Amino acid sequence: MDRARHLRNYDLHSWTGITLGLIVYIVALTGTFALFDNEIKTWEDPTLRVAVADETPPIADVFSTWVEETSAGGTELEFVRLNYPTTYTPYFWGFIQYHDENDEHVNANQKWHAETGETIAERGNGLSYWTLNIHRDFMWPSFLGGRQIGRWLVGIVGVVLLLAILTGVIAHTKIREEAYSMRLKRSQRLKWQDSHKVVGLWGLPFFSMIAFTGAFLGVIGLVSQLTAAIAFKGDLDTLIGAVLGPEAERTGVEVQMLSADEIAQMRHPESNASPQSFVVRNYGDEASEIDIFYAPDTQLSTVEIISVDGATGERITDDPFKEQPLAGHFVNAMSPLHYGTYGGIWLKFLYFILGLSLSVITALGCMMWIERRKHGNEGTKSEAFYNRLGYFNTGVIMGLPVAAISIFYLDKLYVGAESSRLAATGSVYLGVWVIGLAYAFVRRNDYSTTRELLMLTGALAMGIPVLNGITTGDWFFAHLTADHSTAAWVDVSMLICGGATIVAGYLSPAERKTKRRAVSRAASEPEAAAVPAE
Amino acid sequence: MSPVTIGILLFIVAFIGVSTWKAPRLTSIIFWSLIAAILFGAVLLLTLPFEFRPLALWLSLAVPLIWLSFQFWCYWDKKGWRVASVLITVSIVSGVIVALVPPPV
Repeated sequence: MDRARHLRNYDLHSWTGITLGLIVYIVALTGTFALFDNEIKTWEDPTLRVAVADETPPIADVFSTWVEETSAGGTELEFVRLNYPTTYTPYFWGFIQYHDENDEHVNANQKWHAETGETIAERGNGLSYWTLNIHRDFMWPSFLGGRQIGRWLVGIVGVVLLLAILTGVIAHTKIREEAYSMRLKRSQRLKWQDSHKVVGLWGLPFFSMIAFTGAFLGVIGLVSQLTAAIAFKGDLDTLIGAVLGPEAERTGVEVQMLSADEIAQMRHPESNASPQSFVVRNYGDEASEIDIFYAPDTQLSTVEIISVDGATGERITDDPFKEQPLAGHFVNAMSPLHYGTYGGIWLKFLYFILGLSLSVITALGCMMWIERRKHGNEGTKSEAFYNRLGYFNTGVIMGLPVAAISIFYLDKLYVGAESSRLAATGSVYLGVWVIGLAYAFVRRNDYSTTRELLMLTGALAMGIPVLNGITTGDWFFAHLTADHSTAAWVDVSMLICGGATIVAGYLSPAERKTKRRAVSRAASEPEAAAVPAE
Repeated sequence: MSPVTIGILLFIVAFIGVSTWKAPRLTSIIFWSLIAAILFGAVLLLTLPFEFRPLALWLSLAVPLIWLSFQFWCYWDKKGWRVASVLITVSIVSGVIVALVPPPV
């Protein structure tokens, strides 16, 4: 490769990293927490810490009464859904969407106890909801366009990460040597540089996969739908019909629907799995259809669907994705691949470590960019400028884990209305993050800030089992072998991760060993002269 | 269309035009690569001789990669003006094909 092209490629990698590196870091780090959304959900709500019986109790009468009473007065019932109890959501959960008398869309949902069928009081969204959705769409506010905009932005981050990976690989002209080069006894900058390259190269397959699946899940709603909409010249109804097939129209003839209890008995013909949930279209009408959702027999798949006639239970079609075996399988595999839901809890831990390493190399990339300009000969701005950039970078990077852990405390100590729980969670999360950022500017030492905030994160994480024990009475050591031990294992994981974070903080340097700038690169960093640029 | 809307649109067009002239690679990687990828994807959806539903699924996987390829090429090619002119040409030609070819039913 000629030198000019190499430099352009390196600049693209470098500028992609510095302009969007922090956002990639945020998406990567929040993603490591989002992996454990279900486990955190159980930790969050003590009423979910129950084992689910193999046979579900009758729910049909309660459910159909709720559907009819809730939608009474509405003009059209668009769909009805019921989720059966599962390990992580051990309750019946009904949803409906209908048009009210003013033809406005109305959504309603209700939960019922898995054993008694009694109504469960609504607990407001909070910790687990925020943890998952800050990763999926940044909880993008409605006054800036709403959550869909945030999802597209996260998808674009995936594309940017793919671009950074591609240009990063091309920038490494000596990949084989660099994959094994780790000079731990040299300067701080070389340690960062080697860690960035070694972890980046070894994790390459995972990072590429997570970036592509993330980009797909995010921008599929923007780019692909826009592409298809343009091809159909804006006729979205025809487009949806062409992709999903024609939708049955209501005939106006009322029929007796299959009950929720009858559907619960309709096992999958091949895997013999019980239904996880179902969705009814044209509820109560002769043209009603029910999509029954099963856990996939091949785990690298989001779900398997069988569609049946709403009144007779006669099978209509298989999962529409299965009609295109290869393409459908690829598309259906994107979400399980991204969230690691296809291989049990140990796979999630592997994803956690690899996801954490992605956030670390992204952070290291940003730190190296600033370090090179502040202490090397690449900087064109004043030292004060790079100092402020460094404080900002460190505050954003190190404030985020503190914020992510702090909302566990909010969840257990919150005393306000359930309807305000999510707002309180978001306020604490963003507030703590801003405090972390301010601390970096007050401390004026990136090394000390990193060290202290790391140790604070670790200490807060180690306090989570104590918090859980005091507020719920569920001390983890008493529940590790119980039927439903998920919350106890969340506590144990927090203890281990917190301890490891404290050790990492303790081992981090408190300050930079040498402070030199604006001298020749070879003189200031003799090691840097011996290695190729990036 | 109101005069204000027309004014805003003209401003955007002028802004993109000047940006493309002054910084062809940067404007191409931010703007033209996305426009070209979307329109080119639409052309593939309309013209490739395969069954529509599997083709739509495959293209939903391919369009982000096409976008990425265009972005990468923006700084790979030796000439900045060539990058911009090719992406603009791809966008225009694709737009014309999309306008002429009827959507699949």
